[in-house]
Parts: sequence; structure tokens; C-alpha cells
Amino acid sequence: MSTSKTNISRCLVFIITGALGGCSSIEPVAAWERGYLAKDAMMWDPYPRESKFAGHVYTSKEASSGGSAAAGGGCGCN
Amino acid sequence: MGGPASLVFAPPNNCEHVGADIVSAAEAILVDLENRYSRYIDTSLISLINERAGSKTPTVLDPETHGLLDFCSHLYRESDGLFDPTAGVLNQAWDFKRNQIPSDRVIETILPRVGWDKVSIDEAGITLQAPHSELDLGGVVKEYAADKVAALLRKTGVTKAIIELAGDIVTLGVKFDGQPWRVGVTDPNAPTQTALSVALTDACIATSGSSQRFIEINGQRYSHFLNPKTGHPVEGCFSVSVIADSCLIAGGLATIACLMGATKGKTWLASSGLPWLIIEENQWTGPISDHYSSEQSTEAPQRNVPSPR
Amino acid sequence: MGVIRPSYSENKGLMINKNTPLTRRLSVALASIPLYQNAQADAPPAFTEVGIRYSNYSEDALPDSKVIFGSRNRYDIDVTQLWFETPIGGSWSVAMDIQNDSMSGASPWFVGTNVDGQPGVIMSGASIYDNRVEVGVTTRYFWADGNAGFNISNSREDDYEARSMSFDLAWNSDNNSRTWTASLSSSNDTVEPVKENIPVFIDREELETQSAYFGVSQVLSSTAIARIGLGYTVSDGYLSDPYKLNDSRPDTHDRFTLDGGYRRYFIEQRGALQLNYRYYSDDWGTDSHTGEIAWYQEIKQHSLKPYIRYYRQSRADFFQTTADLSLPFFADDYRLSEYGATTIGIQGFFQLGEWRFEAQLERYETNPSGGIGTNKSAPAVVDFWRGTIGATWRFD
Repeated sequence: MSTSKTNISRCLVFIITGALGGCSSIEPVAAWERGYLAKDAMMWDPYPRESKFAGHVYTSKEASSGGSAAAGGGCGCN
Repeated sequence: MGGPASLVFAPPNNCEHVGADIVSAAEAILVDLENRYSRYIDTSLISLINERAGSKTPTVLDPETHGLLDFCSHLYRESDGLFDPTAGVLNQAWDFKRNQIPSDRVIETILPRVGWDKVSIDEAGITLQAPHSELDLGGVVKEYAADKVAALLRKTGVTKAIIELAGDIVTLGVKFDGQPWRVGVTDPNAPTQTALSVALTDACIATSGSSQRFIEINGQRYSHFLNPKTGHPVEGCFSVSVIADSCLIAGGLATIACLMGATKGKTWLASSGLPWLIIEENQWTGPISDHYSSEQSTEAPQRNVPSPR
Repeated sequence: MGVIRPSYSENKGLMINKNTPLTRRLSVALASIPLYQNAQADAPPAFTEVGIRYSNYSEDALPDSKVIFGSRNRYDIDVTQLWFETPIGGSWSVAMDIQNDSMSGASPWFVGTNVDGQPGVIMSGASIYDNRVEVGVTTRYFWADGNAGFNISNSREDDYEARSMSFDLAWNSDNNSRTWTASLSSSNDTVEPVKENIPVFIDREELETQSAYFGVSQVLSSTAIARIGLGYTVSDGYLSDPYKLNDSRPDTHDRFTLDGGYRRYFIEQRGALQLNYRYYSDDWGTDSHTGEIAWYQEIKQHSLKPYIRYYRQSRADFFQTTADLSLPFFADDYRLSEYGATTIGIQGFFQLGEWRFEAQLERYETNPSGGIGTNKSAPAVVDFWRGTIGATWRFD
């Protein structure tokens, strides 16, 4: 797995700069137009207690973990 | 805007001709806002919107106007509907100079035209749904103009200035001698006298009230502010002044406090945390009064806040 | 207008407090107007919030054919979450979270072979009862272009204690249309297994975990945003499962994630499409893909959000259905096996004045042959129901 990790890091640097580089399709949004973006529907994590709990359930029942913030403390989940 | 305007500032780098350019630019801002938002100019945006009232034709809004109207929506909600930019039509029923009370029937014919809830704003623009209704931005344009001129000054590098627009004052920085700008608040009971003098640095003071324009019914004095829900004048305030970072907020708060009347206005302004002053016939209340009444200043104020009209 | 600092400012002794709920609301209102845009600072929440949630997590019983010995019933957990969050002054906020997990049930002890030669689970003996309490405190500081938070948490149960702290940063750039986030965390756990139902072979062990995450979020239009992020986590110490008979894992674990998200609001429908994706890879040989699709529907001031989550993972290098004890590392824990799982759920919010009520129900089903690879999965893969009800009170 360690060799593929280096390749993955290289791929990711490319993806990130690529994603931000293609910014010509981004429309500037003025402050008064941001009403929609401020809605709960458009927030990344409007209900943090639910996402924390769901994350906890999945991390203890699956092999994967993480993906939206640095990992928190653990538990002896079985 | 219907009032005197004055601008005192130190040009950046003390360059006089830059100063002259700034003055022209400031005048241009005022003229532009007047041309767009005055109800009395037939070609203004407001007049165009009002012409289309009841016709279901929306009027496209530029970002600035859209933002200002959004702000008015917030003031409408904060005041429980007392601050209503569509209430202007009610003035057709009231003649404040003659102290005459219109009949209920006259008011009833006009009331259906009033109501911010009958105004719809979406991507297509603004539509006044009620026929013969009118939008009146007089409650915010003056204050917005003062803030806009202040922004211009800041952008051009001015750091010391005082702007006055018909009773609303914006200060930038301090006076040329390094002391805060001093603004006098006139006693509405004795309009030639300054009652107290407020020191401002980068702050605005806005004043609202009905000490000059009012109607007297059966010995009871009513302000010239009309309640959009009943069509009748509110008791109002003699004079309300509020200090804030921006004139728009200071003015909005002062106007709403006035609409609420002295009693409710005091509590409401106290909840804002900003310095305020309410002057009634014999009483001065508020943090501004508390703080300054004990102060003696030998310095005459640069500007006086005139009695509100 | 220059920067409006959300704090006290003096005007010759006359204090201006810009931090009351009323002035905060009006400052937010000013943001509609282009002239005042640059003066908007990242600000603490405008209200105090207190909330409670109650959830029940219930695993399906194992089918008869998969159990060689022991209870077919698995885990049942009741979780209560309690929290409050409040602004302090004009630049700070503090939050406290308390969670209580009440667990009971049996879990797989090891996997053997039944009389027909098929793998089957031997469950741990009598029902396990355990209670876990977790307490966390977060303080957050807001300034013109972003915010930073610091969190300390501690959790405790009969056989496990975890202490962690984390730091996170969010920074807005490009006129608030791009947000960079970074977070770092460190935790230290102690496991001291309970020696009641089944024999355990360790007394007290420790493990440490360090984690970092970097992400960026971009506003694409007035109705769409996207984000991408990278995470890296390393653990060191005792990483095996002490309650599994045949479980010996390496003492380091490196994990890596790449995640992306997209949100798009549809004005006429008053709803938003929400997409999330995560790729995971670790040095134990597991790779996984997680994809989530949700539709957030606004209904007046309430909302309903149905969602689906697809998950597939490959097996860890040292996983065997029936553990091979001759290898240096081995495990028969179904969680390291190869399988796919689908979740369908629905979450609803009902707003009543200052109160918001929530209810959620979700069903997770494992598809044993839906994993990444050609092997079938372990016999003990889990299916569960999860339900939650809650109430939040927000006030000025």
C-alpha cells in the first residue's frame, strides 16, 4: 500500500490545483445574493450533533474513518 | 433629500484640488441617489416602480436597490410592521398644516394600498401588488447617502471628516486638532440652544422626531408619522437620537423608536446596546443624556443636530 | 466603511456595545447592501442554543445459519446527547457537549466452522452491559476573515478511556467565496478490558492517534458550492480487539482520506441536492468508497431530507473469514472483511417559534457480496436500524 500512497498524493495535488484552476466557470456572487447559500440546506454541516453521531456509528461498524475533519477521540466500540 | 448638506474634511495629503474632486464626487453621489429614489422626480426608479403598482409587471432592481429594500424588510420585521416603506400614500389623507382629521372612510380607501407584505421581490425584480400603492424610501435614503459619501471619503484616503445631511451626521476619525468631533444636540423646546454636545470618533448620529411637525387633536399631540396598520398618527417621540457605526443603522433605530412612541421606544432602544437619547417635553432619557449631562465643555460644537422635521 | 470590529468601542467614554441580538441582526441585514460588504466579519452565532437528542441503535439478530454458539441477538445502544452553545462577547463562542451511550448485547467472539463446513460465529457469552459518557468543550474565536476553535474531550466507559484535543481553523478568502479549513487532533486512549464473559489476554494497553485534515470550499454561484478535502491519520499502540479470540493487528495504522462534496439549491423547488463522496485507504490493505445523495426539501419553515448512502470496502490484508493463527497478523473481525452496505434514511425538522424538533430514521443493510474484491464477506456482517428524536431551543 505504501507505494500507491505516494502516487495518490501526487494525483491529489493535481486534482486540487486542477479543481481550483478551472475557476473561470465560477460566477462571482455578491453579498445580497448569498441568501440561498446561508440556508441550512446549503451548509456543509448544519447539524453537527447528528453528523458526529452518525460518524461514530459508521466508524465503529466499518473499517473506514474520517473524511470531514481531523479524527476525534475513540471508544471501545464493538 | 429635502435638507441642508455640509461636508467638512481634510483632503488627503492636504492637496486642495484633490479635495475639490472629492467634493464633486460627493455631490454626484447625492444627485444620483436623488435621481433614482426621489418620488418627486418622474424619471426616477421609484416613480417607475410606483407607476406599475397593481399591474403585475416587475421592475428589475440593481444590486444596490435590492440591498436597500432587503434592509427595509429587516426594519419592517424588527418594528413589527410599523416601519413600512409603503405607508407614504397615507399622507394623502392627512394635512398636517391644517390640523384636520380625515374621515374614517377616506382612510379606509387608502389602507388597502398599504402593506410591505403586498410587495414581492424576487429574481425578476420588485412588484407592488396593490393598485395605487407607492414605495417611499425617504426613511432610509438620507442615511444611506451619508454612509455612501463617508465610504467615498475613506476610499480616497480621507481620515478626518464630518458629513451632515439634513440632521444626520457621520464622522470620520477626529477633528484636525486631534480631538473628537463635537456634535451638539439641540433642545427641541429651545431650538436656538445646544442642550448637550456629543464627542464622536468614526461614529454616526441620526435623529428622528416630531417636535416641528405634528398634529394636535383634542389637546393631544400626535407626530407626523402614520401607523401603517391603522392609518392614524402614532403618538411618536419629540426627539430621538441614536449613535452607531453607520448612519443607516442609527437612522433605522431612531425612526423605529419614534414609531413605537417614547415608552416602548426606550425599552427597545435599551435592548440595542447602542447609545440613544429620547427627549420628551420635560425629560431627557438615555445613555447619551446620562453620560453627557454632567459634562461641561467650553468648546462649541462643530455641528448642531437641528430639531428634527 | 472600514472594518467594523465586532467588539466594544469607545466614543469618549460612551461605550458602544455592538453585540446585542438586535444590533447583530441589523448588522446581518446590512450585508444585503454592497456598500457595507467589506465590513462584515465572521461572527459568532447570534443566539444561544440548548439541545437534546435521544437515539436508539439496534442491530438485527444474526440468522441461525450463521451462529455456531451463543446469543443471536447483537448490540442495542441508547444514546442521549445534550449540548449548549452560546456566544460570548462579540468574538467568542463556547459549546459543551455531553453524550451518554448505554450499550447492551453480545458481539462476535470468534469465527469457526460449523458442521457443514461453513463459517459461523461464536458469540460472546452473556449480554454485555456498558455505559459510556463523553464530555467535550469547544471554544471558538471569530475575526474578520475566519474563525478558530479548540476542543477538549474525554470519554469513559468500563473498559475504555479516551482523551483528545483538537484545533481547527477556517479562513475566508476571495471576498468570502472561498473558505480554507484545517484541523489537527491528538488523542490518547487506554483500554483495560473487562474480564467477565470471555477470557482476555491483556491487562491494560494504550494507543495514540494523531490526525490532520485540510480542505477548501468554493462558492460556484448563488446556488451552488463545492468542496474537496484531504485527511491523514496515524495510530500507534495497541490496536487489536481484546474481546476477539483471534485478533492480532499491527501496532501502527496509517489512514488516508480524500473527500468531496457538492450542494446545489433549486429555487423553484425550494430544495437542495446534496452529494458527498469519500475515498479511504489505509496501510492495513483496506480501501473504501462512500457516496451519499440527499435531497433537502424545505416545507415552509420545516424540512424533510431523505438520503441514501452507498458504501463498499475491501478486506484488510490480514483478514481471513476464519483466522489463520500462523500468520504474524490475523483477524476475523467482520469489520475488516469485504462487503458493501446501503443506508436509506429520512431526517425531518419541525420549527415552532424558538424550538426545533427533529426526527430521523435510518436502515443500514449489508450486502455481503457488494465489497471490493472477489471474496465473500464474513458471516457476522451487521444490519441495523437507527432512530433519533430531538429538540433544540434557540434564544437571544
